Amino acid sequence: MNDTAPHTTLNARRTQMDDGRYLIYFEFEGSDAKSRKVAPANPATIKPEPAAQHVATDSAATEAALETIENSATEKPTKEIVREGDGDV
Amino acid sequence: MSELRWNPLMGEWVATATERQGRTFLPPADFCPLCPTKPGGFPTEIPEAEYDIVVFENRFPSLRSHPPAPAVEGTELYPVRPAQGVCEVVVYSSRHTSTLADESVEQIHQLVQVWAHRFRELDKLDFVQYVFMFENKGEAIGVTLHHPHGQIYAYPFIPPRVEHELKQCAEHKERTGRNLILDILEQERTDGRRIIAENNAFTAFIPFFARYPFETYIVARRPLVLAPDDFTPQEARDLAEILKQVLVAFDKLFNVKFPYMMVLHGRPSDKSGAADYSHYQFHIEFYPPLRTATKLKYLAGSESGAGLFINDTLAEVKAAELRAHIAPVVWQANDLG
Repeated sequence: MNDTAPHTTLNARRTQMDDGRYLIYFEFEGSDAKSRKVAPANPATIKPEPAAQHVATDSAATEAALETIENSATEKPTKEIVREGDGDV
Repeated sequence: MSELRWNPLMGEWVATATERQGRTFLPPADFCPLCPTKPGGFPTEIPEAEYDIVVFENRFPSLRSHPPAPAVEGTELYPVRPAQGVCEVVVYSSRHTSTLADESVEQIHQLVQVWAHRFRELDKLDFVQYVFMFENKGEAIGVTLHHPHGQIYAYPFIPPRVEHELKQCAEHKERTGRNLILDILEQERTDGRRIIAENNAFTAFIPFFARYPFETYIVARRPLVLAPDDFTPQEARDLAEILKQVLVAFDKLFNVKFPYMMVLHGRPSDKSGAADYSHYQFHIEFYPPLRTATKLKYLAGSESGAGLFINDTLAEVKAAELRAHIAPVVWQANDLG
């Protein structure tokens, strides 16, 4: 146990997205997050960089990326990992 | 479309969430939806330019607080119910390339406090029976967003694995009068060979019955610590410390960003306040799929079809390997509040 461990104060700031979902910023007194600047009011009007060719629109990029937040363990492993049927005996 | 379909053979629910089928993989870092939105840049899910920790509702949830009606009608054999619940994303840090292991112990301490906050809030919802917090880390687990994040599912039922643990704990209490998880903890501490790290409030160990080579449990030592909102301030700090120690040791094992599933197991929701879960105990379980630096433990025929896990290693040996990488944690003085 560390008696000198810091004591931070939790501040939960709840906001709402355009589609009605909630978003909560947790801020801690004593933390190192410096400034919190608000992005443009209508960020959806900003076009993506052309480098991301498979990303059709801003919202599509966000939606597609969020779809990948997945609780499945069924995706393929990284190339460096050797697949072996270690349970197949 | 999403709904819950009953599997009468296994006696458990299956969630369908067809909106999640068309997902893409690994968007370019510049288009990470979990990064802060930079002025003039790609608009992410998080409008502000900097943050400590952010929680928001998943855009494509498997469970919703106001779910649609099921797409199919149920029968007596095949009951169907709306997929009611909550799915949240917990973004650990504004730093895209970080991991929880990379974050400071102060940041992990903040995450522990966020867990307590979210447990308290979701636990109150009348349709929620179990608040489940977890993290899938690494492409080997199926993650396709590298930005450090976890998730919270608030289920309308007690999920099968937790229900099974509760049943085992209740039977042990009935038979012996003791708490099963604390008995496991005591046996591990008495034996000592599988202990990874310990402080006054928590003990980390690879259990005697480990299914994965580096399967690791972190168990609260004080009786009646049943959920994240039961932690005292010092226990929250002790959990942050031992998490930091274990996560860093994981990464040092093979000098890779160690993939894992991290799951928090606590008591079910109790709206009446009358339920007695004193036979249970809060703990965290890690299921890391790596068995060597380059080989994965797969859930193949025996594991998936029969339910018998085959572990190619001895927990005592793997615990010694992991324990060798445990190092003290240093709190930064400039974070003293």
